[in-house]
Amino acid sequence: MESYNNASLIKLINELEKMPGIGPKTAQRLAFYLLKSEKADVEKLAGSILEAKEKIKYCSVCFNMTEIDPCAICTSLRRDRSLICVVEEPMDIVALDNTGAFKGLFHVIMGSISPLDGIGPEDLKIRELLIRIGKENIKEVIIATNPDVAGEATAIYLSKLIKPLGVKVSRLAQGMPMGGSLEYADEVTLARAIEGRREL
Amino acid sequence: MRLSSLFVHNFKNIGELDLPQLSGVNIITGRNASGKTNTLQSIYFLSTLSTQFKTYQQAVRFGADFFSVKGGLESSGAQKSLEVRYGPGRDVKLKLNGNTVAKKSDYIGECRVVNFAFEDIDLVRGTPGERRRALNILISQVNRGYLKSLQKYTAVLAHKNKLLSEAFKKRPDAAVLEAFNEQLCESGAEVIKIRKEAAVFLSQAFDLAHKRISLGLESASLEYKCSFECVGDLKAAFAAKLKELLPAEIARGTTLIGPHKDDMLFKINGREAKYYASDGQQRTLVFSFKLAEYRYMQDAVKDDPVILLDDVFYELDADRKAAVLEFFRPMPQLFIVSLEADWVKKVFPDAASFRISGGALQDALQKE
Ligand SMILES: Nc1ncnc2c1ncn2[C@@H]1O[C@H](COP(=O)(O)OP(=O)(O)OP(=O)(O)O)[C@@H](O)[C@H]1O
Ligand SMILES: [Mg+2]
Ligand SMILES: [Zn+2]
Repeated sequence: MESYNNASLIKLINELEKMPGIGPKTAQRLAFYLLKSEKADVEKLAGSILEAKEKIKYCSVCFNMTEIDPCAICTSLRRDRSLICVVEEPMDIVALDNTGAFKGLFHVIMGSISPLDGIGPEDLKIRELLIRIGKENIKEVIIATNPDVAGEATAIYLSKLIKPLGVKVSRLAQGMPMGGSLEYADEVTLARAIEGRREL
Repeated sequence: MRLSSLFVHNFKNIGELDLPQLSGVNIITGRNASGKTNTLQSIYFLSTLSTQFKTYQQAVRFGADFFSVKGGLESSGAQKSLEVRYGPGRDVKLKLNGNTVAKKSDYIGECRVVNFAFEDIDLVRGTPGERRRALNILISQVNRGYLKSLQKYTAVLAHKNKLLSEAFKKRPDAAVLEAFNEQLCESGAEVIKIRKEAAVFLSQAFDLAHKRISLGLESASLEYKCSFECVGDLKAAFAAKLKELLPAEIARGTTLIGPHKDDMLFKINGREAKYYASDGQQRTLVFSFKLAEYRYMQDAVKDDPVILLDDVFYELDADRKAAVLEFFRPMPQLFIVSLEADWVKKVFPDAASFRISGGALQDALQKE
């Protein structure tokens, strides 16, 4: 790119482009926006990125993102502690919690079983989930992995492990578009999916 | 259904080809290597998103970094527009009536085609893979559920085969394999069921067409050949056989049965045509099969597909040529490539004709 004989600008664009959902054009727009902004604003942004990065950790119980460990969901007294909803990513907790239709606990397994990406059960927080089920008084596990091939395989795999423990296992209803991911499903669809969950 | 306009940009040897007004019968003429087949292929691609190449990249015009094909469509009284663009880079962009469509399965089937080409003979002579591909493209154009099941099956199969291919390094977790097998059976059974139903319809239409061409002397049939014994509950039979084959699959590092291993046999007088049909018989058989494809689509969606004819009169004497053309006369839209355009024009005096040269339009002579 001859039009930018400016190494630092190219570097900034490259860094921005690494983020999910950001293509080269958007990366350029963001970079120019930042350069046009007041220095104080840019410092505020850089500061908040660093601060969040330093303060936010994974909850040692459910692997949600949190500043305080265990997280607010895990320590809440207003939640139904006999219900665990299993999701792939911390993002999915936000989507499901916003529906207000689910009042139980969560467990993030950090991905899905995907041989093509070299991810097996041992790479996920599945052992931790089984330990939780053994320790806590769990009556039902709702599996809310994504409705794609890997998410579906993870759901089948989990139900085979959990059912023998005498715990009810259900799957989020197929109200969601096939291959879609939870974070993009709207709240109404998700709420319906929670209510209409089917037992596995 | 009818294609009312076509615009092709950088597709194979075609630089820019703008055909704003298409007719019922469209004759495409030009010298060897001018781009006649490529013009038909662009319509085929616009409809099915398939080319004879392994990658879309190979269809990008040498020296260019993208291609696009656009078409206007009249389908049961409605006007539609379709657009597909590949590159720069590797992304495929699909548009329907100007709106971006994210999934192929929401696009394929909007424009439906049957392509008659010289290499159709490979359907009889070639590998099972070629026959499966023909079935997949045919059924996908009229049944989106089929395409979705097929896509799911292919995705699950890729995961499972990856597990199996690494089995020598690391013994696969039986529960993980089972999680993929369960999905494989579900989508695979659906694919087989729909293919078998299609084969039953196709076989009848195939025999009828073939009888008409062979003057009732020969009987032709198609038989869907499943890679495992698929009687009773398909899904259960598939699951049981996979369970039985698990050790063998682990040893071989791949999935041994399923719709990706099935075949469709062409038979003439009860014998497999691959071995027992003469060259001429094989030509007539594939021709009859293509006509059966047409009937299948017509029956499934109550609408006629667009017909692409690429020099199918090659090797036929005048009487047979005339007889073959009679099959096409009642169909609403034909694109005919022929080196003997004058002769075709006599048969279809109202046809529009387009002369292609060097991948572009040389002149458009439209008869009123
Ligand atoms: N990606 C590409 N870029 C440029 N040219 C290409 C590309 N792919 C194929 N071609 C060329 O396009 C030319 C025209 O091909 P096409 O098959 O359309 O000819 P045709 O008019 O049907 O000729 P014939 O009468 O011999 O069948 C071929 O010479 C082929 O090499
Ligand atoms: Mg040709
Ligand atoms: Zn927590």
